[in-house]
Amino acid sequence: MTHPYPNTFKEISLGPVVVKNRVVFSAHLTNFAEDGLPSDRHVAYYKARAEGGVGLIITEELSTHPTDWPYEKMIHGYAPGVIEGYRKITQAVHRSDTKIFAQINHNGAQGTSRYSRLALWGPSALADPLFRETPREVNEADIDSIVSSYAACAFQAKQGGFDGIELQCSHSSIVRQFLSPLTNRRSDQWGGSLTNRARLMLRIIEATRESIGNEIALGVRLCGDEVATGGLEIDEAVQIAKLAERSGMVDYVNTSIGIATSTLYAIEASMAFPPGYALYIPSAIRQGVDLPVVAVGRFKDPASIEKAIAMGHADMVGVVRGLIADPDFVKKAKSNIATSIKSCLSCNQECVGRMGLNRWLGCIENPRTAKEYLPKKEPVLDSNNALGEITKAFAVNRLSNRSKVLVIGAGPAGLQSAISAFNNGAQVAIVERRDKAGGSLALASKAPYRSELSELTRNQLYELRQNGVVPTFGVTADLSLVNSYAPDLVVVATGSLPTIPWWARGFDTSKDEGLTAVSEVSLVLDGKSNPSGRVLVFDKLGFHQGTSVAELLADRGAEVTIATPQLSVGTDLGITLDLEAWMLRAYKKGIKLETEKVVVGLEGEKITLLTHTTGETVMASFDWVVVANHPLANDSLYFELLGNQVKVVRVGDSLAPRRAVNAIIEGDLVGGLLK
Amino acid sequence: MLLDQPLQIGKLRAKNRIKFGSHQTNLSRMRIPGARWIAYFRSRIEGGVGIVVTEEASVNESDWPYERSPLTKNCTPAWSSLAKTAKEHDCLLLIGIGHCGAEGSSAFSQLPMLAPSPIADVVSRELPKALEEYEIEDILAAYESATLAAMAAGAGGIELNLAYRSLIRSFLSPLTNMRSDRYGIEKTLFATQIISRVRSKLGQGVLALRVSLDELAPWGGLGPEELIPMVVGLADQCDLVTVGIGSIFTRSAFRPDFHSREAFNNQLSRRLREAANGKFATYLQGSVTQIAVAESVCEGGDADGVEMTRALIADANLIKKVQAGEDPIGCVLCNQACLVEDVSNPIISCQLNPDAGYELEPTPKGFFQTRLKPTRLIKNSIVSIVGSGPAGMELAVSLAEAGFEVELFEKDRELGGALRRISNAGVGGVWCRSLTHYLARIENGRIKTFTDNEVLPDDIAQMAERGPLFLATGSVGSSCHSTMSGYHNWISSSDLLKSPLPAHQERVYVLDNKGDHESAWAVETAACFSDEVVLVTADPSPFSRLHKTGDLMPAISRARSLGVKFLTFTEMRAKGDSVEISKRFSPQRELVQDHMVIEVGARESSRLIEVDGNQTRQIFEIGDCFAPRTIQDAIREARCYSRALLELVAT
Repeated sequence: MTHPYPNTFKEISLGPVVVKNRVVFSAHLTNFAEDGLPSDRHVAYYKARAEGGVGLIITEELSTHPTDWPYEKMIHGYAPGVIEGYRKITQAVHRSDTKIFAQINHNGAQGTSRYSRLALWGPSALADPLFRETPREVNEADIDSIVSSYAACAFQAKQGGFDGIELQCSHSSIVRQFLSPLTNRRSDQWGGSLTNRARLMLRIIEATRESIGNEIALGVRLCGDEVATGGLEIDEAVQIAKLAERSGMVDYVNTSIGIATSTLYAIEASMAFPPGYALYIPSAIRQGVDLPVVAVGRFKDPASIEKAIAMGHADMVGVVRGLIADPDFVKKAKSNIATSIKSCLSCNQECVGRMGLNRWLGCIENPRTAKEYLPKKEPVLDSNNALGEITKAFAVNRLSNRSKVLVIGAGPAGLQSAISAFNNGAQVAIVERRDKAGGSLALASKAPYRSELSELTRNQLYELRQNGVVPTFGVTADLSLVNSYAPDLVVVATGSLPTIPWWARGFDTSKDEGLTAVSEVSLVLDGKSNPSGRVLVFDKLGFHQGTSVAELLADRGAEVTIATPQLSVGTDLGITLDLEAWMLRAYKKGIKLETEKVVVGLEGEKITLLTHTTGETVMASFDWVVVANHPLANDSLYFELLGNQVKVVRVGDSLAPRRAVNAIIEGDLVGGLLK
Repeated sequence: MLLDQPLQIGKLRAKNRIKFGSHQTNLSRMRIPGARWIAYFRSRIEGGVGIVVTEEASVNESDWPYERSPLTKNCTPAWSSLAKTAKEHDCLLLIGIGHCGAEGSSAFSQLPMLAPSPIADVVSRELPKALEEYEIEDILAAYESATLAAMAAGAGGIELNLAYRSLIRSFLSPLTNMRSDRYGIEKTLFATQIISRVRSKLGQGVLALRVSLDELAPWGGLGPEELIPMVVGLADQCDLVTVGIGSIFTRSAFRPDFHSREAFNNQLSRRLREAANGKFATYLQGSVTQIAVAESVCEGGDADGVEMTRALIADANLIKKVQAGEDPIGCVLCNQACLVEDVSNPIISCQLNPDAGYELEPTPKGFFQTRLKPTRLIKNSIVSIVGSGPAGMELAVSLAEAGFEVELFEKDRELGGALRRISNAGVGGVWCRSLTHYLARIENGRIKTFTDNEVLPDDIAQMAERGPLFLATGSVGSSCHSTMSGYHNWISSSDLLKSPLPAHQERVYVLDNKGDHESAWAVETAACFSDEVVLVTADPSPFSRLHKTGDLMPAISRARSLGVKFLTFTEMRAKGDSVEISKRFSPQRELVQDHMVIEVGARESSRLIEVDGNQTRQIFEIGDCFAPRTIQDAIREARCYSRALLELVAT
């Protein structure tokens, strides 16, 4: 049988460097650095991806200059102490015959002086829309300093054992700020014509190549489209790639889309964007240059990678989130067991989302991501004595690893508990009240543009099925059922229940004449009610629950208003980069938005809304109100079992209703109870 | 002064009535308070404060409210070090310990937050786990062992937080405690248990409480009528109670900015003090920054002592200076650098005292790698400073006080530059205090000032002959890089600082690219001369950066009550004589004509000459003249240069 991905597994030469396959773990932030230095987390994190078979790793950006410190946990590539950390990383990666390049960068005005306490540098004294700090317009001496800082930083990286250097000239870089007419307003030799705007990039290429010699590779990462009015677009990006090629010093071109501080949603697109949405960029650049070109943009399965290469759109493909979720992505594709890949959902909650919040990187479905540095069997918490705490939190002592574990509930927490218990040697059974797995996640994935959430459940079920564990559906657990299993440990993962707001009599399944009917988001998604006509979605949560249901009902023809006590609708959608696209769709679907509102009463068809910032109240008339509020932990079974002989723990929403990642982490901790 | 008089606190004594209260610093690393943390608190102890309370440490791992929060079990070395300093300076050192409950975070522990009942915090919107009895016992034991650790380290006592981000408060209040067990029936039970467990391990030490006397939630929270007797009851075994206000809906009320008057809690603390009837010392907390106010609070019987935390951040030597008759750096209650509850982990500091929080490294690493450094001083050098804004004045006074001969040039009739303009206009703080402070120091120093004296580019070379020349010419409002460039009826928010204000307008658009205190101020100022004010921002919500000063919700309420219209997700650009207003995620476009547009924060440096990299010319740019930023940047740069010149003299 021929291999399904023959092009993906052909080697390729990037200048002097031969890479064994076409998959690149492209540069991305991790927030693993400590005091500006690479940490053990970095080493273990990159090592795991190298062991997973990826051809080329490009590190997160290494800062070239003290004026560049845009976020707290950045690697100071200019600092004298970094080389030792570099060596640890490169040696760990090289052991798996994976190549590793260092990305070096100066973020220019896309930064803050908060950490460095130094003025920002930029091509023009124009504040970045995110950071909002006016930079110093650099003079000739400053430009010399920047250019030599790249050369020095690259030299340190070479000493640290890297196989190549990538110059980030794309989404967050002083080089792109010079390249783009949006941010470069200079009238001297560094501004105006493309030749002038590209002068800094070419100077840096020249200085870096001179500093690193010809034994290691040099690449540039270019922004193909800033997705901003008046910004760089693909035609000019192709010209820039040609200029880079013409220097004769560059070995490959990597690509990106968007500006990190104003159009980030385009760079790390969520599941609302189609896979491969940015492929037009490498495709166009590849037609303009002979250098190998790297594509990026939500490539989450081996087939789409193979296709992009086979069709000539790109020579290599960057897969970041796919490898964050599953470090063995490439190995599994190579062994033709792609179905076992733990596919990325592009939910952006723990990777992109945590980066913006200055926290270490994670993954909603892989609790081991970023915890590769911890011993394999230990729980993955960073708390200093996590195990003791957790054992206490679960009110049980460690059990023998031959135990029988009964998991009640096949939502994300239950399935993850089953996985971790099985992996720690237990004999596992799962019972589920409903006729399918997934719990509240299965409901959430029914909303428009949210279907990829269900892959989490698919991945969990696949992993369990490989081990012969299959949930029993349609079984409601009670004490006698639990006793019939005679388990050593019961894991209660029974999820949550909707909460009736104080101003409502209860939840309705249909609307009565003259009365506003009341429902709740999970009930709507579950088909328990089907609101129509004039619908108010009252959203206290600020995450996807409210906006998803508003959109679903608008799609079904309802006239939808979404109101929230917060200052904006869908506050937390901003963190996962879903807000922009949702706003666009909400406009098209005629969804009305109301902020700073609290429901303070419902009588007949009149609902009273208080604007809490002014104290004014208004009465409005709706056929339905759908609430997105905090559910209640469904913990009655847990407390029932607690009084009996059996050992019992609870995880996920039945402990406290929160997000999927909490369910996964707690499920994973169950394995830690077995020794 | 009564403030200077000692006060008996339990079995110990405070040498004066001023207290440095517990607050977040972000100076710890990996939950360990290290050298920087110690240096910050040590400098306040050395400054002569009567009582210092350390940053609250979590009693155990179930609480990790912010990344750099100290954890009790890592604190012994730091506490011991401070206790030693405190003994040397006769300072009563109290150790802050606590648990934030549902007002913490699960982001770092990745464990559920713990609370009496599953009620989500209004800001995080995350549901906590309702505490089970065994967990309550764990927490009680943790308070006890934290007390033992603090006393073993040599501290004078413990302060328990029953107010701000507090698990104990959440048990006391019906807003957050809906339990049906004994902890719900008797809402003070948890607090009582903690207090007696802590007391039992204190020995001769002091037990202090920090309380809120009004949850500011009349629909369901506790008010003074309930809280005063409750606190008096709880404080039975306590020696000191510090009075604050606020709760889960109003956390910013604990440390509000300048919109609240100084000592705004004085009536509440007076009531508590009367109810206490001498059983414990009552301390007032809340925006007291002036010694005179503190004195009148004590003198008038509103409280026995006063917390002056922000004043002591601004000037660690406040007390020493007052005792010596010197003028301390006066806190302006701007809250712009000392409130550090932000995911980006800002280090505690002060807009007027950039060295605060950076006691061990006042000059940033790499500063003189990116800036010209003074390299020589001729004999009898005269330091010339052009521009008397914050950068110019700070440099002038710090050099003059170190013995340099300084000449300060100002083109206006009065000194002060931007600081004078903003103190007249009241942008985000009581800036006139800072202006007065600098003017007094200039007066006292041997500084030659030349007002009404515009320095021209041609004068520069000659001035630089006499010694180092500093250009501190500030910045001006400018649309040169704005989307509104070329629009005829455009002004910058900087232009609003000039008097008089613009003439009456029917409608004004405030283009807000900042979302901070300056934006709120611009909107409120515009409402003074315009019938209608429209705030235009590309952000999802107005004033998106104001949470950092605690003024977000108040500012929105003020703007709403002025009838300001908010256009969020909206952009503006000049189209010839008109302005195009466009919604970011829709095809909606509107063209308006002739209305005034005020753009917030649009500034460019005012430069006299182009300063090149020629080291032999001793000409330096500082403050907004280098790049338009904040007053903190201006002061920091002035201090960096003044230290560099002092080093030159020393070598």
